[in-house]
Amino acid sequence: MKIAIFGESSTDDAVIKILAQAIIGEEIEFISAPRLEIRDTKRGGSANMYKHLRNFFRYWYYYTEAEYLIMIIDSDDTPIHQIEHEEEGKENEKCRLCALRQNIKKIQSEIPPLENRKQIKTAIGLAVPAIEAWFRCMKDSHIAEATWSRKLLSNEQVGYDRPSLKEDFYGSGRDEKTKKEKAEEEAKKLTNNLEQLEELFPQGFGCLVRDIKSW
Amino acid sequence: MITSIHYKNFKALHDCTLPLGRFTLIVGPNGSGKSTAMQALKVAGEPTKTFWDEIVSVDNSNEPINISITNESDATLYVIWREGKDSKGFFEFAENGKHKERVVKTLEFYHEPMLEQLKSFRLFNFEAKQIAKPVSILKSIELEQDGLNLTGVLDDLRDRNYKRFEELNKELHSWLPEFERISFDKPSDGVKSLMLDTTIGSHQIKAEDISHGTLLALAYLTVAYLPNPPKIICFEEPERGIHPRLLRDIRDAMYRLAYPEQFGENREPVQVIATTHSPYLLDLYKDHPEEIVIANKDENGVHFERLSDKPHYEEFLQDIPLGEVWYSGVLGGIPAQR
Repeated sequence: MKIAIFGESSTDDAVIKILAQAIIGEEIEFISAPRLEIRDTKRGGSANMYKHLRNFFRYWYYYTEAEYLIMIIDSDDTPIHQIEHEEEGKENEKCRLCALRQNIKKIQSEIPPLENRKQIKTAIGLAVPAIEAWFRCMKDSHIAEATWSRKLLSNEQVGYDRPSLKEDFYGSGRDEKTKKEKAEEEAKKLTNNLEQLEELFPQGFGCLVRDIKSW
Repeated sequence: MITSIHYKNFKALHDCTLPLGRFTLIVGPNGSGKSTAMQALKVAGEPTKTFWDEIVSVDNSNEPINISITNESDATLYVIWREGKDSKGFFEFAENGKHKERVVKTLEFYHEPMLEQLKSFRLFNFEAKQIAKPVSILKSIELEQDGLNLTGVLDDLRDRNYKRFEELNKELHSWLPEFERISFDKPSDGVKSLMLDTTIGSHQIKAEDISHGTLLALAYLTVAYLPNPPKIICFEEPERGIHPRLLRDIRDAMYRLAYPEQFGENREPVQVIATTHSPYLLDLYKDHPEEIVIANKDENGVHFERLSDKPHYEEFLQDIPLGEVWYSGVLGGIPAQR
């Protein structure tokens, strides 16, 4: 399997690789070079994302042999994906997972097709509210989609937010290499608890797993 | 005009071809051979001044070096260094694709237009401190690679071609409205330095008090207004020290050299090659992908690719500034994966 990945940072990309390997099981060839980056915005959520994703998608389609694409983005304070969003016409445009799916659909319909080139299949995960929540939930099961949902719906004080999740996990260090090593180490531990992760994050992580299994 | 240069065993350029036009902007990561490609042009103009072992690729240190320079008439000039510690370079020549039709091993060959062009090659890598330095009144009027002697060049322009000097002043004022014109000072006997007169108050600002960005901009502008510029000019990273909003003017100064007819100039075009790391400068070339060359370095070595030769390149340039597309990595020319 030849898989391209798209996370919000090189650290997230490394985590996606580890999780993808664990979910899929069989040998994966990740599309490595080049290191795709965006200068003007974080990858997730912004209006610019579509434009960049469009170019990245073209890159994978025209210049690589990628068969699949795995993406994980942070939800931040946007709505959590719901099972109802899966129904035709019930997508929530503020839900980043729905928005990404719509974007991908549009990109795929616009791309001038090449002969003998199959369309790239995608799997999308939504980290609620950030990928560090997945790392911390194994030690604190209070950190979960349901908890964050209560915060979003009723403004309940849940004891964590996106910055505190990151600070608790990485400390005050700013060094990207150390952050990446720490995230990789934690992602490896997570691979032994994928079922529990799916229980705590049934939509954000669950969608990723279901998408991959549908390939 | 040189249309391409093929490098074989020259430093980091083991085996690659650089396509060139009247204007070429090379973009790529550090260490991708951009500066080396320019250096090769300098060495090729005076091959007897360089020994084989000074410029041979480390990985191919038993092989000859060959820099093959082809022009629009399909004539190729080969500059060759045979292997050997004390081996100097020599020329071979081919016309219409017929290799070595005429072999010339001496510098008598200098009447050839391509060699004349090579001989006049100038590389500029300006440094503000050097530009600001006072110079001897007796010093030559040649502008140095780092910008030293800009004062002498401007003083000479004023003396010999006042009309052009005034045009330059007008352009300077248009770039930097806070300044009215260039003037000169003699801080001590036999030494001169440049100043800029302010628009408001007509204060004379000494070179050492002028901002680095202004000095650098003045250097680019001066080269663009030289009455008899070199036939090939390379600018290393012209964005350095320049405010992003001034980059359009810097681009146009380079275009004035390369496309003089579009600026009402009555002189031969200069072949201009520039290198950059600036997405902002690159943004300005979105409508001219044929002027962009992407330098890449991978396990097979350095290679150059003209953006307009890249398959499907138009698909990437629809919604996003070119600099942003390049930075994202989809076009190549970025640092290697860590």
